[in-house]
Amino acid sequence: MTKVFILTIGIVLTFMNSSIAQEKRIDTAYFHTDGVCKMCKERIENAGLIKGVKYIEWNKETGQTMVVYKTSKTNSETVQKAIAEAGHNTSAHKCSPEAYGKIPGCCKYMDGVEKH
Amino acid sequence: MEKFRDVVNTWTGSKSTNLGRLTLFFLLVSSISLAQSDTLSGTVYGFLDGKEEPLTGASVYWLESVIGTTTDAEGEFKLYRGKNHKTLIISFVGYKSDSILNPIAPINTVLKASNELDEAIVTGRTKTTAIDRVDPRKVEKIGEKELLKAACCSLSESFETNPSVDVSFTDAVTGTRQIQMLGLSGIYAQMTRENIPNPRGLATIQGLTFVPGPWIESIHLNKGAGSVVNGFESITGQIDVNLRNPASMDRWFFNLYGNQMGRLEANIHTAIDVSKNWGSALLLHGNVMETKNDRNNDGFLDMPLSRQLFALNRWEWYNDKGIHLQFGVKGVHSDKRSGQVSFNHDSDKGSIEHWGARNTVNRIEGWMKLGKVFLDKPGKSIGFQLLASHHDQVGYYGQRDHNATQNSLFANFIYETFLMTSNHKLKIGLNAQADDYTESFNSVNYDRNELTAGFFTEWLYSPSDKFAAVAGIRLDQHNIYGSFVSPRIHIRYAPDENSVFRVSGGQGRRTAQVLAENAGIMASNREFLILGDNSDKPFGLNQEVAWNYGLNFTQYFTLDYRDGAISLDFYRTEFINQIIVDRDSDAQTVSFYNLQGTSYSNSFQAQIDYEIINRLDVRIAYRWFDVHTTYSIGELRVPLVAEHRGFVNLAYQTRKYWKFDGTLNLTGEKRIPITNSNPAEYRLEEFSPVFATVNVQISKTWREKFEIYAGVENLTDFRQENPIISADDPFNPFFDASMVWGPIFGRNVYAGLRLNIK
Repeated sequence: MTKVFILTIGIVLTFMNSSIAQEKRIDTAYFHTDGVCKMCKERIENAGLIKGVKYIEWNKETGQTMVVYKTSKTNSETVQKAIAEAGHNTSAHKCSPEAYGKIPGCCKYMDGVEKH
Repeated sequence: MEKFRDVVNTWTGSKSTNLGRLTLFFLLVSSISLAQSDTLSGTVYGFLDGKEEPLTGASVYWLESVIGTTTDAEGEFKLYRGKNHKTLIISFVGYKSDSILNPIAPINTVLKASNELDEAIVTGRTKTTAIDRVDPRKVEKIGEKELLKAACCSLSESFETNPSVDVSFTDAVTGTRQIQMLGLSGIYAQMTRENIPNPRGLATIQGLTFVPGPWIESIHLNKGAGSVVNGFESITGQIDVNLRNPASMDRWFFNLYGNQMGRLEANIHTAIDVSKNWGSALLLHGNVMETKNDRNNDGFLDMPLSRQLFALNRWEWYNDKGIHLQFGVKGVHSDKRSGQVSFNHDSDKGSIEHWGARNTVNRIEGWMKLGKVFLDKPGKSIGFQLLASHHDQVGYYGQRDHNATQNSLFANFIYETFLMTSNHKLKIGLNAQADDYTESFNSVNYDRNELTAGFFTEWLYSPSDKFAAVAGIRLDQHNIYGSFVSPRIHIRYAPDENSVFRVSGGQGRRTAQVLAENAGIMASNREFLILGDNSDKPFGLNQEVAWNYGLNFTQYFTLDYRDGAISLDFYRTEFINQIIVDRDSDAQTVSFYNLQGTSYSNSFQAQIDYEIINRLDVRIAYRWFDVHTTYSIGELRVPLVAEHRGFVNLAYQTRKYWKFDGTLNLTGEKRIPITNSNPAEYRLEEFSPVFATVNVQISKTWREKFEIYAGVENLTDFRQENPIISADDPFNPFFDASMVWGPIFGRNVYAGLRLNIK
């Protein structure tokens, strides 16, 4: 029993070490995203949570998006593209009129809807 | 947009929140709407351990008016601003209220409370089920998103994705579901609707089916002894159901549901802002099932035919002095017909050729709540609650008639205040409960009256963010059982912000509704023997009295940027008296008598919740129940309770708002009541087999307005074979449809839609 326990701890420690080692391959990016409300926040964070993204948070007040991602899987560019496809302009990507057309009236940040 | 909202965060709100709101926090209120000058919106943050977190449920309102709101899960609010609205008030029960004169966006405000207990935090990503970290009681909140995972149909089924509560059938005929907590029947958990005890009495089991799923906004599940404020009846826990209210509802809501069995359901909700002070909501539910199903070919309907219509209308009013009034009325009509496929419910009643059962319930409830928070005196409030109900049921099971009526009145008065400092909070109050029952079974009358008046006091002590304790005691006088004391205690200790230990203990008691709670056994030819004395006591039996002790540890963690929690709990319930339901001494009778000896339940639960990859939430639980009772033939494991249970729930949401949900339930062996004395062909195995059931559901949402869902219950089509003893001859003495340990109806496919209009 004790052996199993020690072995388990060993495995856990190895795992933790490797995840610490991987930490270097995880990067954080910041960019601006247009949006006005809670629904926008949900849409932006949902759209940006693509493969390789560990964590994403959009701040409605500042418009800043923080993305934590694996550098081997994705990059800030790809995340911004995914957000733009959901109808929100980012620093690097403008969304298409079609994508913008799909978002509900209360989220139309380009048509004078203020943050609310 | 002027939306009627809850201004006053009174005692009428969720019981869990009042306790925790005793901390120092920052308020950041930002108004952005320059273009729309009639709306003020912003976000409220709480300050905890050097971090700002959005704060849920803070009240924000205009002083000179009655327009107000509470912050949502993101800490955000939106508030109508009229010409006369000058001073904005931000308040919490337990905090010093703050005011901002002529707020101009953006506003930064620091609101101070005189206490340091940490606040319940709901972070940006709301979990569908969350355990309140601050409440000294272990309160699990089952939110709206969790409730949507089980698309059908009523409160009794709402726990299917929650491992703390088990759901099973009372018998193989009537389709009545009952819940189980801590290995004991759901009758030992106190049900409340917005903190008023309800359903109870005759409706204790059946009443759960009278609350349609779409009516429920959230459920607060508290394992263990519970609070004294709502009475003495909770033993294994308290389940508080919050229904939809005018403040949180969309203007219109429609829901349609249909399943393979032929059951159709419709729900329509509407909310109206009658005026600035008044809001009203109407909830309507109807369901019909007229398709006869007999998949196992035993000649009996697998599911009853039913027609049910429920309606609820509620009103809310408040003024600028902190007064909050609510009242409402609910009506229930339910008609369920079951039995042999060949039975005609219109003409065959009392037949000796065909066996049938029918249960018709008409019920009406009216309630009122009146509360006042003293805006200038933090923590001080008074409240008054009233509930009147009339319940009438007419039924038969084969040749047996069971008719009952209950008229009840409940009143509760609560005064809440800080005691010297805000480290001490005191609740005192009085309540009274009157129940008048008229009940007959097989032409024998069991009429009874119960009248209880009680006094309670509950003291919350929270000297630091690490420690909090609630101690409560109540003294009640019962017209038959005399006076008794019910003590309760809950202690919470959090060595750090991610670990919480809880200890609880307390005594509860209740009057057994011997017939109504065991109506499932009426679907048999067992003779009912109620072995009471010939006193005035209900059924000649004593009260059920039990102690409950609990230990709970919850560890929250963040692994690879995703949150999770591990929870371990252990509860022991020890009966001083219990009304024993004895089906073991003799296979042709069921007897009810006072406990002679020991009766206890030990329950252990280990649960882990984690978002294993992005958007995929996993919940795994294991439960162990050790439930023993002394019968007249000796101490035995309580029948039809599995010793081991496993639970896995996976919930996945795609970027395109497709949701996938799957639940696996593993049920271990259950002891089946002894049938040795029956002829060989009418005997059952000693134990039921281990079995697994799987439920799956897929849904897709468009623009948070329209949702379509479809799912399969019992995907693997597992069924209890021959659930009815002597199904081919229901008039021989061995007929018994109450020995149910597994699903009767196999795979069931359903689909539905929901539409919200703001």
